[in-house]
Amino acid sequence: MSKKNHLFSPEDERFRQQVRDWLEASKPRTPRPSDAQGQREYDLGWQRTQYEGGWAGIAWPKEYGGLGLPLIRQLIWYEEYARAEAPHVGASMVGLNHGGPTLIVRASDEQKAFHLPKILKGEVVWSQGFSEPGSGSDLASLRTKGRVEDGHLVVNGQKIWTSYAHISDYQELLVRTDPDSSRHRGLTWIICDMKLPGITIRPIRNMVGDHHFNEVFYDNVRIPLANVVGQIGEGWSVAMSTLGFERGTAHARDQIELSLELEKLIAYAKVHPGPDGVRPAIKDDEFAGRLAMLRAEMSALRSLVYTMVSRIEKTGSPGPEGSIVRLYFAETKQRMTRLAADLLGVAAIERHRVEGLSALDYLNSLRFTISAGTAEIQRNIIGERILGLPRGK
Amino acid sequence: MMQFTVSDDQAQLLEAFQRVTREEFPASRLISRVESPLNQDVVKWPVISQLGWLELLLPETGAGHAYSSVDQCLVHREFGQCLLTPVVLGSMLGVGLAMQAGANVEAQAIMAGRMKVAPAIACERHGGRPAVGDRFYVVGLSDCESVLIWNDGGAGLFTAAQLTDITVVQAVEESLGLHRVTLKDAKPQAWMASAATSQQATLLISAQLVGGAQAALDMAVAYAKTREQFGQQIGAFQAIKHKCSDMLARVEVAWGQIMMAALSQGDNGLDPFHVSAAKVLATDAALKNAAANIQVHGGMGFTAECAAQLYLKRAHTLDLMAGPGREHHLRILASESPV
Ligand SMILES: Cc1cc2nc3c(=O)[nH]c(=O)nc-3n(C[C@H](O)[C@H](O)[C@H](O)COP(=O)(O)OP(=O)(O)OC[C@H]3O[C@@H](n4cnc5c(N)ncnc54)[C@H](O)[C@@H]3O)c2cc1C
Repeated sequence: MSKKNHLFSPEDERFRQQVRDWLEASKPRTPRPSDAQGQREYDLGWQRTQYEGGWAGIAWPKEYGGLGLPLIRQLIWYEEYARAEAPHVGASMVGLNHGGPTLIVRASDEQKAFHLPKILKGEVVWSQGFSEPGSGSDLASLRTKGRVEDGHLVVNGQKIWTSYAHISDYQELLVRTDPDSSRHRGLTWIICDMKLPGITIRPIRNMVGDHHFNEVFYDNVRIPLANVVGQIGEGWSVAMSTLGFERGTAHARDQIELSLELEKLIAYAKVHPGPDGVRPAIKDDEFAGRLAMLRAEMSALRSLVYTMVSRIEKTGSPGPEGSIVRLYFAETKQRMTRLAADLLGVAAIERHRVEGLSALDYLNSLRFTISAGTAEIQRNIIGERILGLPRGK
Repeated sequence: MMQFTVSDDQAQLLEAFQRVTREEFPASRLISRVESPLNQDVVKWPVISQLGWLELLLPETGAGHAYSSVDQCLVHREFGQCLLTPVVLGSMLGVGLAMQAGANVEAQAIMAGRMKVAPAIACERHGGRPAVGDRFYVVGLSDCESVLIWNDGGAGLFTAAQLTDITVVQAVEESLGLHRVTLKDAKPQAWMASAATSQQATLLISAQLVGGAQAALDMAVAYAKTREQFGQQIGAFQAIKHKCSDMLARVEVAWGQIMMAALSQGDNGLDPFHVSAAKVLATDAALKNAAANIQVHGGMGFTAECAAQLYLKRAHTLDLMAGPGREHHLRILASESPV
């Protein structure tokens, strides 16, 4: 990763150096707490530090607290962020990665003026209320109802797999406002204040043992109509903007994080004995081949992210090609974490990290072919929306 | 031609086991008890011992019935399917070892259920006789009176008093009850200097891995037939249908090779090539099927509340217990041409 590349202008490189210096001086040095409230405070505190340092919202509009710089600078920021091993975005993820970006392109001026600075200043946590028990891949079949009643949307129903709901202040909530509608028509995207009466949250433990996602129940929750983003009945198109950001730009940081993890893996393989118990693992042909392949794939993944950034600069949206990035990221991550587990040998039986490695990372990686649209759905999008293949029934 | 399909007798045998396993050891017993230090299966030890399971690997059981290598694999496939604690395998192997080493008192104690044997996984993979200072992971140590250590050089029983630096470790598979230990007294209670136990352990673990792969397949198929999205059962999507077909193919492939290994039993024990081949294919089936089952279940599959994760974690444990894949790769190529 220390190789110089010629993809960036001298001004970009000067910017990179400033970012690097600031991150080195300002990144948190204390470990992230393990309890939910502690994590919330830690993640928001770090976001606030970035805001106060003048680094929040690099590509977000100036009038809402951002820096108004081109996306490429945001990308540089992410690269340096990962390189500095700054803390994972954590609870700020939804707000920064897709909540805020959706508001930027679809919300009213009042909504933007109210919410965007709060996100950048690290004052609020957002969550995403899209999936329901009966509607996951088939999001357009969702049934949570919103009834218009004296200036409010009265919401009844249930969402599931809602990451961070238990510590969130606001939610991207997608509901059916036209009871006679089916599928994409008749949906509305609304900002839900998670402190409103009638909301009940039940934690769901995931398979690695963390409490990360939840079930959320809505019992006559009254949300002011002023919170509707776009128009009533336009929710599907707003939700597609959200998913575009979630599947595309969110990977700018992930890809570089992954490359750095691979470099650690290579360093590990150079000093720890391989399967013959004597020579370093990297001298084993099979391990060497897998490590080499992954190094090539990481570089390609980076190129995919650069391509996407260029496309957004040109067209304003990541387009269905975001699905290629998502899919490749998810499957490369799974291959890499699997290799890490194999390199650990019998020590992989433990959860405990050995020089930063744990087989738990492989288990955890399985989430990436499910969340933000499953691998099968991403392949359908690639086949149908990019290649124009006939739609299946 | 030898029988590769299950005979009527074997089907009956299997049914008898299934009546017990499905009743006493449903996978649900391991869900939402991840925090509990109590090994659900050790609680049932009297049942396990009374059923005669612990003596099932002996050439001749008390009831006068001898289980062939294939029968043993069928039984262990069932154990894998219901995720029975590896302490059962440790104890079953322990009985045979104690008998062969002339430690009759120990053998009787294990069969009677008074002594349980915790299987160990060597951290130092030198393959020689365990030495003072060698480190091991031990499964279910706090429930057991004895520890079984095996490798290609031989196999032996040890007591907890021979261990030091006994540390509780959090396993990827939460319910495992795992410890890390160091050997401070390397003189075994019983030692057999032959690869037989190791080969047998590897084969039976492979059978358990295939059982897990089968259970994951069954779960995925059942879900694919009931879960609907876009107005149809998800099994109607070829992406899901083909995933399930691949899962079945992996089970068949691995099981076929396990039969090859089980039938390779000769005067010198099992054929090491066939055993290692069975191990790598069974691991492949178990790990990939478990991951595919999670994928078929979508968000549900990623929760602690769904049984799908249990098969992945067990596959991970058993894979390591039978020795990492690369060791078997090297053995597979070190052997003469199998054809
Ligand atoms: C870690 C994690 C975090 C999440 N966070 C959030 C969140 O914050 N907010 C939120 O709203 N949601 C969240 N989700 C939910 C996620 O978006 C859904 O799990 C996902 O869309 C799949 O839906 P499902 O779970 O209902 O599975 P299903 O849609 O029931 O899918 C089951 C299987 O069928 C396959 N399938 C379905 N339709 C097709 C088809 N047409 N062709 C081929 N195969 C198909 C799927 O690929 C999958 O393998 C999260 C999920 C995870 C795992």
